[in-house]
Formats: sequence, structure tokens, C-alpha cells
Amino acid sequence: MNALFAAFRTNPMLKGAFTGFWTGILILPFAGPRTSFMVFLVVLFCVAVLAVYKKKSFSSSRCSIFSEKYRYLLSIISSDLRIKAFLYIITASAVLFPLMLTSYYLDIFIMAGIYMLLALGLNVIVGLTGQLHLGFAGSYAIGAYTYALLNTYFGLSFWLCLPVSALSASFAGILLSMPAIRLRGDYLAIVTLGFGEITRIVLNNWDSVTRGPNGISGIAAPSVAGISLSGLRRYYYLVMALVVLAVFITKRVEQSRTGRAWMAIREDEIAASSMGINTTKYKIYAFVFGSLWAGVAGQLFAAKMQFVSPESFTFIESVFILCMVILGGLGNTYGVLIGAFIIAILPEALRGIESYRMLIVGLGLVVMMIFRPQGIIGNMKKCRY
Amino acid sequence: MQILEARGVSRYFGGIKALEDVTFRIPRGTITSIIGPNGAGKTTLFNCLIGITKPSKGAVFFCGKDITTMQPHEICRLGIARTFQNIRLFKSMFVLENVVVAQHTRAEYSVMHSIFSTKKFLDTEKSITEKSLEIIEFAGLHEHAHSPSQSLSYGSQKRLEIARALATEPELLLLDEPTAGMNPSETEDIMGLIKKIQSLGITIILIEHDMKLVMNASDFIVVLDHGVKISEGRPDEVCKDPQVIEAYLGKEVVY
Repeated sequence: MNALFAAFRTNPMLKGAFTGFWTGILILPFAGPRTSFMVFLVVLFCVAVLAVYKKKSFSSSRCSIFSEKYRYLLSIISSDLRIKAFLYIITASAVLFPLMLTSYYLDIFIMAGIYMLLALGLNVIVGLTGQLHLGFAGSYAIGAYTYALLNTYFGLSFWLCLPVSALSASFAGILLSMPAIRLRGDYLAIVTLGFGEITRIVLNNWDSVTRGPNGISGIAAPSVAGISLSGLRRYYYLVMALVVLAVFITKRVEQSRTGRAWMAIREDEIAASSMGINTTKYKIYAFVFGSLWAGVAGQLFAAKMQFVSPESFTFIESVFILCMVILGGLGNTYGVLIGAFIIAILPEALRGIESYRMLIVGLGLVVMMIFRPQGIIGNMKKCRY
Repeated sequence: MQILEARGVSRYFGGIKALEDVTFRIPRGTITSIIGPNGAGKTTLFNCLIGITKPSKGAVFFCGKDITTMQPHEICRLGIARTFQNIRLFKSMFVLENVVVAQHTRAEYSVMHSIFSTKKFLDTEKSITEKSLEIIEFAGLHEHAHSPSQSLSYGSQKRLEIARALATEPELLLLDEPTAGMNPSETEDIMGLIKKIQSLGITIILIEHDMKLVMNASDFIVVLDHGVKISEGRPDEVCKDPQVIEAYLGKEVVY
């Protein structure tokens, strides 16, 4: 009997089969035999690969000639270079994808792009500066409503509104940072949560301006030189262009003295202030800079849906954005992009098992936190100098 | 010419008098030790000097300028740097990054410069990186420049703290127990480093329990006990002061 257990524990295939079998059985009543069989195969494969991988990394710590060579090769292809190659592949596929996708997938990808912007912004506040922000949907909503109101009331164009939305979200960031700079940890979480909820409730109840829960419809889609960008494919390229711009700017700022000051505050506030960093100022900067991207994302969302209502900016939205940042790896710009992509795609990818998809997303996060708390590419950080 | 002057600095935590009317002057270019039994208020005094806690009463002057109400980062900009008793490094950063961060005030360029990666940005970054490497070498950590700061040994972490403080280009360096928990040979090394820093013309204030180090290294000693300055002077004078002996060893009993 014990030998049997041991076999299950050590043999990767048996282990995978066992885990997969039970997962499949559990899902069977909800998903039907076909899906549960698929789940069985996927789990079996994943567990087996993981087990083999683990064994390998364990044995490579012993000094065999093979692993020595292997490690040498790895060191040549430095992690920086790998990330760069990876980035080019991603960018190329992001450019080519929409040419072969149906509008259903394009729609999902556009939302993924918007979430990437949000995750990038929140990453500056939570990941780099270490200030827990639970009301990021508030800034998102402010960006969306700024465009919705300016466009429907005054007929202002998308491009004219873009900086206004970004700045109004940043301004909200300044307002929020005023109480936030005095607070830490749990208290900060409560205040930021309050900010998100207040924003939503104001939008919900200020009927004369925001039309309350009915929302604002008839928002114009952007156009460039007379060509409307309302088509999904064109809109996709617009979103992607803004994501690339956001990544570029965030990365540059992150690698400057501003980014270093943010990270120093995250690591140790007292030490940071003794090293000449104005912690108050840089915390405000972080809130402003992070919220800016939420404003841009909000406007993109409003222009895509051509309709906004407070329902889209609930607390759960803030939590989702936070999950993206944590899943991708706090403070890792490329990581949070992947995290945003996964969390935005996952609910759609799991449509097959309909009502249990959120359960699986949650389960995935729990498993992630146990086995890889630093996020997907959290530990690929390398000394830049 | 004194570089730092504390005038009647007092700090109360509720009813507890952590510091009571402490007055002293630090001449430029010297090493001054602040000693006293545990809980005498040495670290509180440091915190008051650097602006982390504000004195309840009294004033602190740096180069004749009143810095009592200034923020820590402003004081750092003026030229006072410190290390911490319990190491406070930026843990997830690399050794070099820790030192580069500390050059924050010496690298003046705006966000726009970094976004467009202008020449000013690149030049400043290059020069602060080179400067940081120099400082790391000066502190004897050149082998570890590119390793994570957490991977350093305890002694090296203390050194890194000193290097980081030096990177802010201070005129006055406050060292809070730089040799705590070190063996004699490590203490000797740190001692050498402190002397080297002094030779750069940087004034040093030292909190230390290692009496051998204190007596050998310092030009002046300030003795605190229960928040009150009980003695000050040259090492050989302080040694003989009956009040100091009493604070450390207890009162002589006369039969």
C-alpha cells in the first residue's frame, strides 16, 4: 500500500493521472463528459510536466557536465536578451493577430489591451511604490466619464479629450493621495477602497449630470483624419499603440531617479527619506502617474463601448486589476502585462464551463499565491548596471 | 568652527523624558562618540538630529542653520547622512542600486529628461553609476557590486549602509552602532573605514558600545544617561569622570 502511495507521489505520470482524474470527476456534473475529459488531459499534462521540471531543476544543482554546459548557454542568452526577444515576438504577433481573428476575439483582445493599461498604472502605485490601492476603478471611471460627458455635452473629439481624461484622473489621484500619504497598510487600503466607492456612488446618484444608473450612451468613436476608428480592427490597433506608448514611458520613468525613489519608498520609507528622497512628493507622483493611465484606459473603454454606466466600475473591477498586477509580478512591468492579458482572457477562454469559470480563476490565483507568490515573472529582475 | 550644534534638545514621549536638555557642539572634521547605557536616548538623539523625530524643546543647528523643523530629506540635502542601528537597506535591490538610490539628490533631471532619454539624463546616470562604483570600492564591497543586497553577510550589509550614506555626499555622517554584533577583526576593519572617511574631511558622530573602539577612535565623547548629558570631553577625561563611572558601574559604596 505504502509503495503504491510512494509511486503516486514520485512517478510524474501517475501523479498527473491521479490529480487529473479527480479534477475531472469533480467537474463532471457541471461540465459534461467531454469537457471533464479535456480537463483531465490538461491537468495530467500540467502536473506531469511540472513534476519532471522540478526533478530536473533539482538534479541540475548537482554538478554534472551536461548541466554545466546548459547553464553556460543560458548565461549567454542573458535574461535581458530573452525578455527582449520575447517582446519582439509578442509585438509582432500583436500586430498580425487581428488580421486572422474574428471580431469576437478582437473584442476580447481590445479589452485585454485596456486592462493592460490599467495594470500598468496600478503597478506604479502598488508594485513600485508599495502603496496598496483598492479603488483603482475610481480613476478608471473618472477617465471614462470625462470623455463621455465632454463628448456628449460639448461634442469634443476623442483626441482633444484624451489629455483631459488623463489629467482629470491624475487630478483625482492627487486628491486621493492627500489622505493617502499619511497612511500605511490596512488604513491606506480602506481609504483607497473608499475613494473607489465614492466615485462610483457619485456617478450613480448625480442624475442631472451623469444620468445615474442609466449611464451615458451615444459616445462617439475616435477618428483619425476623417477615418473613423470605430471598426474593431482599427480600434484594436489604437489600443495597442497606446499600450506600447504606456509601456515605453513607464519603463523609462521606472529606470530614472523617479522610479528608484518609488522603489526605495516601497523598500523602506524611513531609510528613503534619510537618503534625501522626498517621500511625500514621490508618493503623490506615483498616484498621479498611475492614475494617468487609468484615465487613458477609461476613455478607451468609453469610446469602445460608446456607453458608460457606473456598473462597469465596481469594487470587483478594482480587485481584478489588482489581481492582474499580483499575478504578473508586483513591480515587473512586463509581468503585469502578461497578468492583465491572462486575467482578461481567462473568463472568455473558460466559457465552456460557464458558471464555474470564476471559481477556476479564483482557484488559479490561490494556487499561484502558494507556489509562486512573486508572480509569473517576478524574479527575473536583473541588475541593470 | 563647529559643524553641528544641539541647544537644549529635549524629546518627550508622553511622560517619558527620552532626552532632557542635551547641549553639545561638534567641531568640523572630528570623530565624536555618543555613548551611554542602553536606553540612554542615543538613537532618539540621532533621530532628532536628522529630523525623523522632532525635538519637543530646543534646537539643532547645522553649519549655523536652524534645521530643527526640517524634513529628513531636506536635512540630507544639506549634508547630513546616517546609518541605522538595525540595518535598513533596500532589500530587494542590488548593492549598486542601493548606492545609486542614495545619489537621488545629486542627480538633478526631470521626468521629461528620462522619458526622452536626453543627453543630460544619460550623462547624469553614467556619472552617478561610476560614482557609486567608486564608493562601493571605497567601502570594500567591489566584489559584491552586482549581487543582491540581501545576499551580503551581516558585516558587509553594515558596510553597504555606510556606503549608501556616503553616496549622499554628506559633510556629517552619523553612524548608529556600526560594529554591533561584529567580531574583533571585523570591528578593526570598520574602524579603518571610519578613519578613511574622516580623512576625506567628513565629520563623524558615532554611537558605539565597543569601548576600545570609542577610546581609540574618537576625538570627543558625549555621555548620555537617562536622556541627560552627564559628561563630555576628550576620551581620557571622560574615562575618569566619576559620574560616567557611576552610570556604567554603579555608585561606590562607602562604609
